[in-house]
Amino acid sequence: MGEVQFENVTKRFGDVVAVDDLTLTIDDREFLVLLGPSGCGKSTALRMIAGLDEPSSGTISLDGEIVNGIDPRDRDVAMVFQSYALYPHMTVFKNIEAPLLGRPMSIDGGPERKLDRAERAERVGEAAATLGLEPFLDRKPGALSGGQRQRVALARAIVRRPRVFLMDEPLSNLDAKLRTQTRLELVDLWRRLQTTFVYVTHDQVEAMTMATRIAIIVDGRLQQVGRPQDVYQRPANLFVARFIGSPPMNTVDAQVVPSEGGPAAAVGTTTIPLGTATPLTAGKRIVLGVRPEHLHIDPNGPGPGQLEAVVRAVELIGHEQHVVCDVDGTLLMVRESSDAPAVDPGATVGIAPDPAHLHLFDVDSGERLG
Amino acid sequence: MSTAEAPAVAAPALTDADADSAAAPRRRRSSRVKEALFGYALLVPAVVILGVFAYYPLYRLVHFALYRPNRFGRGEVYVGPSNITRVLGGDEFKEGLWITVKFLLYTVPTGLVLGVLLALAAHRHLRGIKIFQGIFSSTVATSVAVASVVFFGLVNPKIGKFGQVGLIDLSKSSSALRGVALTSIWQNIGLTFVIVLAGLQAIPDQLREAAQLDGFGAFRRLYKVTLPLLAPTLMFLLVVLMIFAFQAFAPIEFLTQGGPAGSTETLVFKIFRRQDPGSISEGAVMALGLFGLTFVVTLLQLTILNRRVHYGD
Amino acid sequence: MATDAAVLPPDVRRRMLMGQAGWYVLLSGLSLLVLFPIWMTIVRAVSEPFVYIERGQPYHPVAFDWGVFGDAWREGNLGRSMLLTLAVTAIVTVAQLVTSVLAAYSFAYVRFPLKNVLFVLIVASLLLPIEVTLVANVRTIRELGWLDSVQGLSAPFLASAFGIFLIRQGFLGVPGELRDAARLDGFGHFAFMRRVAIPLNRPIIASFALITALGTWNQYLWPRAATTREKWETVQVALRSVSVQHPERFNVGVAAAILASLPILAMLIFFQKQIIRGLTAGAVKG
Repeated sequence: MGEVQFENVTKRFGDVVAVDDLTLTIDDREFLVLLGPSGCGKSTALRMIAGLDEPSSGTISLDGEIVNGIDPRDRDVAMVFQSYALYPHMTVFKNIEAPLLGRPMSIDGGPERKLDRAERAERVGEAAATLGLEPFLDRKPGALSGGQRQRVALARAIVRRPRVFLMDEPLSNLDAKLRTQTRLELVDLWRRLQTTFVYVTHDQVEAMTMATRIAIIVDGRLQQVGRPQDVYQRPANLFVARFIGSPPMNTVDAQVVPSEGGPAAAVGTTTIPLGTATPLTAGKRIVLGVRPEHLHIDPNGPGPGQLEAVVRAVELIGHEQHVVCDVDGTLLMVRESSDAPAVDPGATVGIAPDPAHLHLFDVDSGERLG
Repeated sequence: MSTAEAPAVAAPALTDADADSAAAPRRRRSSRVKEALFGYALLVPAVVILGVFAYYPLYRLVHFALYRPNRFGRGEVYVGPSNITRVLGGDEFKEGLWITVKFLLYTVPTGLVLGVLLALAAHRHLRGIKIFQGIFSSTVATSVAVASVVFFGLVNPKIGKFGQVGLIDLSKSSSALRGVALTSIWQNIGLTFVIVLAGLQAIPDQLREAAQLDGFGAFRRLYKVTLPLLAPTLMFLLVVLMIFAFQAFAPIEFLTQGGPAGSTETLVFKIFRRQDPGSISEGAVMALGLFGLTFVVTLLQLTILNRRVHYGD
Repeated sequence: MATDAAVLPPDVRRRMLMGQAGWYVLLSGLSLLVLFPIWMTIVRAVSEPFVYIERGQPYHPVAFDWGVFGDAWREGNLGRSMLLTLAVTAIVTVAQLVTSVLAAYSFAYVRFPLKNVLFVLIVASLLLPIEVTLVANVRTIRELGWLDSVQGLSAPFLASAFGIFLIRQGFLGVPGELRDAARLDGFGHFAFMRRVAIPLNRPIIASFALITALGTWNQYLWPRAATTREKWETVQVALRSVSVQHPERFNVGVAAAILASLPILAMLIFFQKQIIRGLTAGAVKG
């Protein structure tokens, strides 16, 4: 019903390539998050699904039908804009009603026709009830808070029951507390509506907590698409590895060295066993990635297979502590539980990586090795 | 898919102008044409009116300048560009130009000064200040004809209260223009006041307060803070008043009919007088002269305005 | 914001009050500049004309003749000319609104080639006001047989480059996201114009309409040039016939001028804010 397909879609604005050869399938009813830093083309991709911008090359399909060149009003998609785009001079009721005016709709599979006033009012009431907006129907957007305005934008989107919902950074204009609450409400709404959500954000926490799948886009190119846990546990390249996860993954330069117990890498003078089966040529330069929770501090100084580090700072976060260590000029962050033995800044310790959770990346391409 | 709609309502989803979509080039090209046609259609009424009553007359004026109509019946005689140079260089036009310029010199500086004076006086917090503001802006309600009637009653030599005052004596060619100018000056007070007051109100109070703290007295504040910030508004007002001066007609027709001895015949008045076939050629040339004058003045003002704005920043 | 005088020590208070009194004196004096001609006009209107010949020029009304307004109405045929002027004003105002809104919308929201060229041409027409084009337009009107007619009086002013410029500015100020949202909501151009673009610009459009109406009612040159018969005189042109051409009964003329100003005065009082906004539209940024 709500499947979206990008096939080799490229979008150029003059000399700037906003979207570069994007091929992606968004399945019906999934909650797909387009994640990436600001200006990476994710909003442009969203707009192309809506029809507000057209691809320079490639095709976009909805439910198997190519929609290039089709007017936005005929695509049966709805969009919630970053600043909500509510009509300031219309009441909440009229804002929600707007998509129903002048557009023939098919009622329950019957022939398409325009809704009359009673039908429109019923639909608006339904949408308003879903989002708790009944007390505000007569107000104008100027008299509403940011959170309420966002709900009006959502109501306007759902009133037509489109097959795809597009959301462009909907939480970015809300304060932190409201953001957490609204995140839950949005996921809840998605479950109730059983419709495809395509959601754009630069916040990886939102992506990780809300998505069924995440598509990471950088400089217009798709880096990786997969379930949150897959993207977290097996990032496809360095960028994804560093982008996903908070605090971010630690990365150090290393070199593959021969070793009897299997492949190992030398980080400075320390040799660390790599628990991977992938064949690696000795001497190859790589980037080693390991998440803060997969590092362990040995306060008794560097032992075999441990990196020698000087503690720079210890940040107590209540239930855990973040220890920032200096390894030969590179800063590494280690997450330890608060119960772990305390270390002091300035102390020399050893850091032991968990060999089962090492990530290897090619030093030139950034691509994952193995 | 795409519903069949009247071309005027279909708004194709296009925001970029380059590259083809591999899948549907034909659809996009035809809807872009539709959109362009729609755009032109919306412009048709305005373009037709402006074309017929602004640009077509320009062509006709040039035609009249080059071809003198036959006084009786149809037909015309080619008189050529020499006609244009003859009239533009002739006494008639030069007189009209000079009188128009004099009128401008009488009305524009006075108008600016009065406007600024009144606005400065009325831009303060006093009880009842709104009443004074209302009084000062009241001449906005007068038309040129009404203002002319009002001043006819004041400066007409026979029945005007001040008809015998030497400076504005309408019966003497040396002073008549001043009497006529009085009408415009008075009438302009309302508009200039409203505009300068708006300009003053746009200056943030904090600037005046900062100047006070810096130790500026009232006059210094005026000179160093207020007037420079008013400069764009005053430039705008200058343009407006100059345009009014070029357009002056009713006061002349009401008060002096162009006399005595043609001393109040501005360019517009002369043009108005020359509509019959015998003199329309001259009228057309003078009209073109007026056009040229407006053009040059506007150009000058735009360049000065641009330079001023950049320096001001 | 004036400090409460009662709170200050007596000598400071006295100085402040004297300062204020000074301003009142100055403002009253300046008001005379504006009011004196109006006052003399009223005096003249309501006094019998013989007063001027026999007793010279008084500063105050003498020998009231309130019937002068009735005389002015009849002799100036003000009833008919006001109706005519009203018709022309209505036609021109509505026409300028429609043509300006449509053209402004086109420039702001529709894509078509040569847009910039056309816009420059339209704005450039401001260099060709009626004073310059007068003789040619009179000719054109005469050739169309529209001399002495409502069409003839209105035709040259059915469109306004200034209006197009002003309203286009307003349309360009509507956030682009609203246009996007409207496209997704299914609004074509006319629906967007009607439901969003125009309502959001109601203030500037209203001000423009008021300024246009004011200007058309007060216009002199064109109605004077485009009519030859008395029954087709607009109010302003009629003023000349009834006043300046009968200086011996000037009280009637002046009374007519007063009557002619009343509608505009009423408009000014009711729509003061919008009119001022329209007048200052080019002068002050923001």
